[in-house]
Amino acid sequence: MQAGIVEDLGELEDGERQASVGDLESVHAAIAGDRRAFGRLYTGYGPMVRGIVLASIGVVDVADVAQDGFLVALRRLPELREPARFGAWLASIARSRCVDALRRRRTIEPVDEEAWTSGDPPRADALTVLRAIRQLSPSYHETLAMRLVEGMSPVEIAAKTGMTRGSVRVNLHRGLAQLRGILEIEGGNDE
Amino acid sequence: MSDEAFVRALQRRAMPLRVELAPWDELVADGVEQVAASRAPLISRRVPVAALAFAAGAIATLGWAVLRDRPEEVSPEPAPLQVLAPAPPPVTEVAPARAPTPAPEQTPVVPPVKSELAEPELAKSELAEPELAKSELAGAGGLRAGRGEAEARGVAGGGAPASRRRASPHAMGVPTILRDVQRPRSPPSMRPCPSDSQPPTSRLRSSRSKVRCAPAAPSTESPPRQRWW
Repeated sequence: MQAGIVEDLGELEDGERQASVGDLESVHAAIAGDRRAFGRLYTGYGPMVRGIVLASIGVVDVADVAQDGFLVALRRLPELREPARFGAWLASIARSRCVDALRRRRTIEPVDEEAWTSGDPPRADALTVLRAIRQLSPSYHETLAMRLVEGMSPVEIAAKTGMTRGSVRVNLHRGLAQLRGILEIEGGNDE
Repeated sequence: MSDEAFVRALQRRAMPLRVELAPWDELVADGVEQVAASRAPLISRRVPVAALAFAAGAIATLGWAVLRDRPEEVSPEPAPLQVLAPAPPPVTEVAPARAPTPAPEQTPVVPPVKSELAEPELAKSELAEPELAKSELAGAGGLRAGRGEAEARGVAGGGAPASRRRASPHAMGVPTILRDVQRPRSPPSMRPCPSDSQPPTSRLRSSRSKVRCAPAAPSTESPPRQRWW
């Protein structure tokens, strides 16, 4: 099984290959019905899913939507055709859950992000950064949320999302440049 | 500020945005409970809905079948009319042959103006019609006797039916022909008596048409209505 998994991983560097080998084993075990293996995936892919959800729906209900995405993934795991692309598959599920959450907010329960800050300056400052990130295009704000909020390295982002490292670098570079411009325009409170 | 320093600064500022997910064990336990709780009502909802849909479909089918069979149950009364329907052609053929003989006798008795005036009276005295029909159905002797009485009484008493017969285009020969045709052919139970066989709504028209002219009129009108029911 190990040899097949390594062949599936293709052209990854050594560090990424080791991490992804562990993920791929866990994916195969989870497909076979191992709940603890899916728990390892939950821990490993949690920052990626949180970053996607945070960039999409904002700061309210991030944990709920992210956990809901994992539960949906657990139910649909037998439908996963390419275990090596588990990260991209999980990201698409998380995005669809975000769409559902946004639709629910528009129709049923609108949220107030100002209430989340509750007069706390660090939270208000964090909300300013998040709103600046969400003004960027979708391909940038997910990568930036993973990098800036969740603290993931570019290599880790590439390994988890299934994107190439070149794409991740480009997204981060361009996204940071746009973000700097937005934050400077918004009042120069960026040191 | 370099990119690296800018990223560090942003990471520091965005730190409050980071949230922790629930431990996997708790999440799985909650998720399994939620799935179990969400599926149970779904099944319990589906069963009665399916039963109700089946029952509604069965009731609708039965109702449709009953409504479809209904006219066939009601139809035995108008059926003799359809059997008698072929009768009119010989009536019309025979009528011109015999019409000339009674015509000169009856025309001078009551002028046509009086017959038109007598029409509403007859319509008002609709309840008297069954008696007239019975007298006609009682046989030729009865009808002759009725006419004889009418002639004996004049216009006031039996004049109305007599004038009505004359007012219609077939007035000359039809009563005679009706007598001649119905007497040998139909027993009392099979006779097309409109006052007995047709529904109350069409009683006025059918009784008039019967008295006025040959029974071809009800036989041609009634079949499509029966089929529609």
